[in-house]
Amino acid sequence: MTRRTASWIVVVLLAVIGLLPVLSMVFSTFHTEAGFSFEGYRQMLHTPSLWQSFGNSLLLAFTVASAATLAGTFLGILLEKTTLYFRKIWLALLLIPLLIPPYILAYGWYMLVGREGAWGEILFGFWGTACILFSVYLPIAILITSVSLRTIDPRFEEAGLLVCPWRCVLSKITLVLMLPSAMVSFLLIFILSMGEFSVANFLRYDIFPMESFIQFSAFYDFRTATLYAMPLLAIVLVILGIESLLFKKGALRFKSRTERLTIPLHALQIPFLVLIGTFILIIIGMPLYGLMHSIDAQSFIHALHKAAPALGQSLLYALLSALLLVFFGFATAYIIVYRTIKGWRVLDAMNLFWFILPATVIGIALILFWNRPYTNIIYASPLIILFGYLVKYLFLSSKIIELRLSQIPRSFMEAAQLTGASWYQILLYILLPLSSGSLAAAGMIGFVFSLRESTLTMLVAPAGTATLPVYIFTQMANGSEATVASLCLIMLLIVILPLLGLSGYTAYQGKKYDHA
Amino acid sequence: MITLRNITLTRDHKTVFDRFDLHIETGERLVIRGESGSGKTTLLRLIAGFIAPGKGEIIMERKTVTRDSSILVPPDRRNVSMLFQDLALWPHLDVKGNIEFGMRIRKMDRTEREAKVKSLLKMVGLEQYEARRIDTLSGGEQQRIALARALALSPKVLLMDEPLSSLDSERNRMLRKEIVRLQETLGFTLVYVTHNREEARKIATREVEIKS
Repeated sequence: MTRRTASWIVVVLLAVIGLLPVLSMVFSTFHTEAGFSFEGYRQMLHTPSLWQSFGNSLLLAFTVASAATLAGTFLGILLEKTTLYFRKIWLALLLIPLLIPPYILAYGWYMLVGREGAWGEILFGFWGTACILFSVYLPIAILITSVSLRTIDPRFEEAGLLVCPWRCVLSKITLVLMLPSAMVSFLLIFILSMGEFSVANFLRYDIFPMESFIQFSAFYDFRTATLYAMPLLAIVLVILGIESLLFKKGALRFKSRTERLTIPLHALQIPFLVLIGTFILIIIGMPLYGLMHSIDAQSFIHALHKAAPALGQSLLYALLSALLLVFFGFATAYIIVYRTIKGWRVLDAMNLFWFILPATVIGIALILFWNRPYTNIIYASPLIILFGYLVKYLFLSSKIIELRLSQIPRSFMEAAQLTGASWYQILLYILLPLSSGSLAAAGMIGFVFSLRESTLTMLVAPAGTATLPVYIFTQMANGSEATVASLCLIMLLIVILPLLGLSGYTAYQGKKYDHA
Repeated sequence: MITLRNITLTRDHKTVFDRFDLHIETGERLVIRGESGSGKTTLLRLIAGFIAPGKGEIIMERKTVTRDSSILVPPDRRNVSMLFQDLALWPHLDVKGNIEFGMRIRKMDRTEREAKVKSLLKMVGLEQYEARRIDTLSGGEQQRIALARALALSPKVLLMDEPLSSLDSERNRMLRKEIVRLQETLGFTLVYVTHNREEARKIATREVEIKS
């Protein structure tokens, strides 16, 4: 089999799993018993309440994206570029909200401030939802800033430092060079906030993705649910269009440099330590304290016992999903980095499209496509959950592996090619061993994100299937507070423990190839 | 015998070669000199078969191996080896793993393979280094291992892309002598790229300068 044929097989498989369902969903909105019609869209346009929630969603997404991009850029510079003490620890702490189901933070705040009183009123509304989503998506802006800083040629800054101090170099050179990445942060967080619905649902703030979810889960009205998913799909396409127009070379295609310049903090060390410590205490420490203070040993053991089946299913699906994500992540990264087929750019854009597509839209598309008599084996089995996780998180695993593959010198492959090694021998003996660290990282990130996923799972999970995030979400409505808080703690632990393992492994890998 | 005829190559709207001709005799040590960006490395990559020009043809041993934008004979069937500027020693394999990689791919018998690795290591003066990791070797030792790897499949043509540029003058001088000695002993055709006139003069039986 040639490299090109293998690449096409991967692309076709992904198209069947993720693209055909979306296309078929779009088609279904124009298809009525009378034939092709815009009637559904006409009705949707004349539903004022719908546009009220759409406006709420836009405002919420804009607020969260602006705040997270500004704060994330500042924190990214502080953590990546300065001599601030304990940078890795601060970064690890700041990543926690992204790695757990977002509603856990909402529940933590609720346990802390309650529903009544001034704080309760702030929490249950626009500002509460915005602040929690800000802490959830802030790590994305920090990570993008951090990666973007690594791509800047230190010579540009050195040339600036010859004529002005760091403060001026930062504002006139570094920040200007980082603008495209900040724009990517903003767009990404905007669309992710637009699609996230579990926090707003818990905090009773009316947003657009809920309309589709309610039509689907409460009224079983598939057609209306599908129609209501269309504006979200349209926004995703607009953002993808902006991304491709603004960044023709691909702003999300990074090449890391080994050389970097750091900014000495000197007298600002202590003030910045106090600032970041206080910030983390507020956005992470307080909601976690809210959860912890109501947990006792008995309720924890009781929750663990009750959640055991859901926990088992969660771990199994997350593990299988991680394996799929590593396989397809490597395959797509390979196609993109080595441009094995002409449509590699389309594949790259598709990965991003699926990632930013709201989980409700993916869920509805998968159900509509696979819920047929001859594909029941997929619809009625956990395969549909795995398909959902695969398309939703393929972007992450692919980018992690892409970053590593792009660092492997072309000459490594050419040297093997000269010996007669075929493309798959080069892949097996050179590329796979050299990218093992990134495969482990992609697997772990895939595992964690699949583990934390709730909206998509709620929609597509076959009867009798409940993952831990779904179980917690349902318990939040009718379970005791101590049980729910314990369940949240269990969720937190199963996410953090494997990540500690991963950081140990990557540190080991880093040392292993450090001098090579 | 290698002939490059009427080679025209454009990269990023910039002409790298415009109707370029070159003839390389069997067994000669041809040094190609030129400034940075003049296309020296691209020329080696054309001969190796990693890339094809837009127009022109490359003939090796009376056989057309590249014509216009088509690579007719892939790199591994040209009996060509290459010493890369960054050496391209695979960091996840040890010294032995690097040298015997090609022999393994070609399913050479284990005993024969091990004997060949030993003789190559002896030839480059690093007999005891078989099990050493690449990152534990000095720059000069890495150069020698890369040379041993390049010679492992007994190529007829050895392409060298500024292989000594990262070495200090003493090591550079020693390895230069080593390369000439090996070429004279084994008789392969050497195409050597450098921008260093002194290095070129010491190695070459013939020099060619390409200008951007």
